[in-house]
Formats: sequence, C-alpha cells, structure tokens
Amino acid sequence: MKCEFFRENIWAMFDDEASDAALRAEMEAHTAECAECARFHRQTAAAVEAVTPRCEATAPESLTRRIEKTVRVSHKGALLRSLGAVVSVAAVVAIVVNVALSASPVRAAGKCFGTAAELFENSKTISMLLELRTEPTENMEYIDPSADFVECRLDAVCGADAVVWRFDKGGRVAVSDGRIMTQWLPEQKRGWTGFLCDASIDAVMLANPRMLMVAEREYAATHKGVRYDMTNDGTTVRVTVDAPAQGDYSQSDYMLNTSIAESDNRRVYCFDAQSGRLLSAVVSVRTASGEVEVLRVKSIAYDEPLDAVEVAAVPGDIELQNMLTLDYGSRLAGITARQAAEKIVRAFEKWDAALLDEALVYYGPVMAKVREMYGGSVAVAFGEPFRSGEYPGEFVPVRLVLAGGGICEMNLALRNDNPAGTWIIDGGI
Amino acid sequence: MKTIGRLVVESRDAVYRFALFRLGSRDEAEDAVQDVCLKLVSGVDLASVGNVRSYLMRCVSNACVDRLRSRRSDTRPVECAAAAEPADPTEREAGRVGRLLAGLPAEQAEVIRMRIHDELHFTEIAEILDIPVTTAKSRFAYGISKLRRQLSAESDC
Ligand SMILES: [Zn+2]
Repeated sequence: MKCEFFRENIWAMFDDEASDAALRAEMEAHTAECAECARFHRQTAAAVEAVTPRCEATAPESLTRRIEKTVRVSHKGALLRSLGAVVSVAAVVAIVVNVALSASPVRAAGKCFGTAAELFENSKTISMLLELRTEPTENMEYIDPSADFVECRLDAVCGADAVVWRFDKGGRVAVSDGRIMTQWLPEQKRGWTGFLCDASIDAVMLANPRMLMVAEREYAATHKGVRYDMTNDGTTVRVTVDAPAQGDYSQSDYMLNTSIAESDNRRVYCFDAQSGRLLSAVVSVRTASGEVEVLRVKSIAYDEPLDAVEVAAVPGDIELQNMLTLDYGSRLAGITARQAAEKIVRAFEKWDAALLDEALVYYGPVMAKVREMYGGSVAVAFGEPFRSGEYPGEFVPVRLVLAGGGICEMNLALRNDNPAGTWIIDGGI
Repeated sequence: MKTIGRLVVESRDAVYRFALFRLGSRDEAEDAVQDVCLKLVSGVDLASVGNVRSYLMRCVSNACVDRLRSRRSDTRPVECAAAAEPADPTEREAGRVGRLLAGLPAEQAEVIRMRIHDELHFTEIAEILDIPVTTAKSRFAYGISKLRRQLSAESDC
C-alpha cells in the first residue's frame, strides 16, 4: 500500500461500517510496517479524540415534554382498545385461579395435575399480588414490554358453580360474578358492564377451565406452533408453554407485543408437588430487543377470608354502560373503514353528536372526556388503513390539529363486526 | 404516520445533542428541536421520505444552519456573548469543540461532527447532506488532517 493512499483513506480508520472492513484491515497492516503512516494515524486519532465531546448530553426533561406535547405519540390502547376482546392477562390469571379453586377437578386429566387438583379442592379463596408491564388505566389485556411494572391485585372466591374474581390494576378494575364481567376506571367513575364471561374471556384458554393443564393442552392443540412441557422433580411441578404471537402481522406489526397472546411468549407455572399450590407464574415475551418478563406473581395467599359478594362488588358511584343493550345506529354502515374514519374525524370539528354518538358508542361513559380532547380538532391527513394482530377490524392512521393547537397522530381502531355492520371506534383515541 | 411521532421521541437525545453541539446553547438547541418537531408533524408525507432517520437528521441540520445564519445577521455581537464561559458543562464542552473546529471549512467541520459526535456512518452522512459518499469521506479526511496539523503545530510550540 502506498502511503499516499493510506492518508487519503484515513477516514476508514474512524468508521466501523462492515463494508469497509477489508480496507481497514489492509490499512492496519500498513501501519504495522510503515512508521510514518503509523505516526500519521496516531496524530489523526489524537485530533479525533480532541473533538470528541467529553460529556454526555441528553435531552432535558423540558424538551421531552415539549416534544410529547407536539407529537402526542398515539397510544395503542388509549381509553378502551378492543374492549370486547379477550382479557388475556385476566385469562391467564383466571386459569390459575380456576385450577387452584376447582371445585370438582377432572381427575382423569394429567397425572401430576390429577393429584394436584385434588389438593386444590381445599382452597376456597386465593389472593394474589402480581406485577404486569402495562399502563394502569389500560385495557386488561394490554401489555407494554417497555413499560414499568404495575402492581395488580387479584382476588378470587370459588363459589358453588363459578369463580368470582376481581382484578385491580389501580387505574382500572375488572370484576366477574362468574357470569357477567364489569370493568371501570375509578378515577373517572365510569365503566362498562354486560360482558358475558364465556364470551369475553378467551374461549379457548378457558374452554376447560378446571385445570391449567387441560386448558394449556387445549391451547397447544388448537394454536399453531405452541410447545408445551411439564416436569416434576418430586417437589415442584413446572409447566412451560411456549406460544408464538397469534394474529396476522403481514400488513403491520402495530399490535405486536401489545398483549400476551399477540407476543411470542413463554408462560412458566410452578406448583408445589405436595400441596399442589401454585408457587409462581411468570410470563415473558420475546421482543426485538430480547426476552422481557411482562407478568410475574409476587405473592399468593390461600384461604383468606374473602366474601364473594364483596369481591364482585362495583362501587355505587360508578356510572356503567351496558354492552348488551348498545344502540349501534347505521350511519356508518356500508362504507369502507377509511371512509368511516374520515366521516368520524371530520365530525370532531363541529362535534356532530348524532354521528359521533354512533361512532363512539363504546365511549358513552367517557364521552365528555373524548369531546374535551378532540372537539374542535381538524383532520390534516389520513393514511392507508391496515390490519394487525388479532384485531378484528382495521386501523386508520389519522393526523389532527387539536383545538388547542397541538398535533395528534393516531391509528383509529375501527370495527364493524356488530349486528348493524356499522363502523365504530374502539381504540386509538 | 405513527413513525414521525415515535421517531422524534425516540431520537430526542441524538437530535438534541446534534443541535447542542452546533448551536452551543441548551435553550437554542431545545428550540431548534421543537421547530423540527412542529415542521415534521404538521405537513410532511413520510411515505415520500426514503430513510426517515436520515430525513430527521437533515431537518435538524437545516434548523441549526438557519439559526446560525440568523445569529450572524443579528446585530448582537456574538463574540462578546460567547466570551463569558457558560456555566453549563455541556455548553462549555460544545464551546470547546466549536473553537477547535472553527478553523475548518464549514462543510468539513460538519462531516467531522456528524461522524464523531453523532456517530453517523459516511453512507448516512452522504444521504443527509445529499452528497456522494466519496465526498463525505474526503471531507472528513481533509478536515481531520487539517485539525491534526493544527494540533501538532500547537503542541510543537
Ligand atoms: Zn506509509
């Protein structure tokens, strides 16, 4: 190598792009045999060193707040993403509870669990503290692997023929009286009721809720690519389920890793082999940046004095909307999701209540809040609708200028799988 | 469209650092980033943008150039204002690096900053500045050689 060539290409010694690796190796070899160029390289490195900042500079909090105010990063779940869908976290928990509280265990199912389940019979209540990476006010199934853990409490009572439970995330609470599920936002004193438990909780996961093994086996049998493993070392029974993300991500990975079911996940349950009691449960998901625990049980207490009526009680000051008696209307039937999104968003500006009451039928209890946020806003752009994950509808990207001047980007979640075939918003705002 | 918002929020440290080391002032760096943010969300069709990250950096780079230009036409004597050593360590550091690079042609200094401060590859730098990669590399080589001579001259005397 000529020294002149070395000097002209000195940039290569200060970049790490793979495509220049061969050149770099050649140049390094040259410095080993040419003292003059070695000196040139050393001095250049010193010059680079001199202009390299000696302190870290990160964006101040004030800037982060300003950016977030301008670009309100659209929340995937917002107020009530796919409220009618599976409550999978609750479902996972419910399985555990149902196993633990199973009044008449299916003795034939599973060798270890046959024994374990018999012991479970004695436990009439279970209280569990668990940690979940989510947002406290978000939908029960929502997870965010990058969020901090939120402490949640689960209480369950085994009744004669049903399990009554309460799942409290702090910002959102769900209760089931064994037949109907109700959930609400304590701060807003608003909520929704009328979710039939057999319809609203993952039917597959809970098809046979008597035993975790049965439910998980069912799950493995009915979902592609689910691997399932059980070990028993005499003291601990360990059940590991590896499941790939359910749903279709060919158009967009928007919904990927927003729920356990929509993540490549591993669920590990440990039971005491003698007492059959659950010792721990951990759910982790595999994201692009590695494996992240999203749910873990902190503590479990059995047979605490819990009263089923109290567990399922909804505070008297919560205003509830009944999902069974919704009036869907038909103003947004027979059009595409994109057309519906345009109509809806354009109605924000002058708040066309007739149209918005239909489009936002799920938001009845928090309509005032929605109006406060979006009333008077003007749409500036619409993107191409897409589908993602297990969401039964479509997402339509929208950019709005809010009445206050801020700019808001969101993916409106629209679905028309209702009796009226009309498009309604159930998330994204 | 989600990408604009996400991108700016996720890249805020890099973008802020970029502006800080060019403008030498935390407040101005914040304002510049905010300007870019507003511009991006209010009317850019990202579908027409190739590499979104490069595009973002180009916007910040332009915002800094605009600010530096208006500062020059400002009647305020910049030298006087700069004479007082800032109390903030990051501003001081930006000032120190700025003085070292002040002797280089602006386009060479810019490539050096992008490579060393912002850790951008030459291919990215070329895309952001809309110049051939070979030009980005030779600007770096010329600029850093000049700086090398400048520093060894200083250490010689
Ligand atoms: Zn040589």
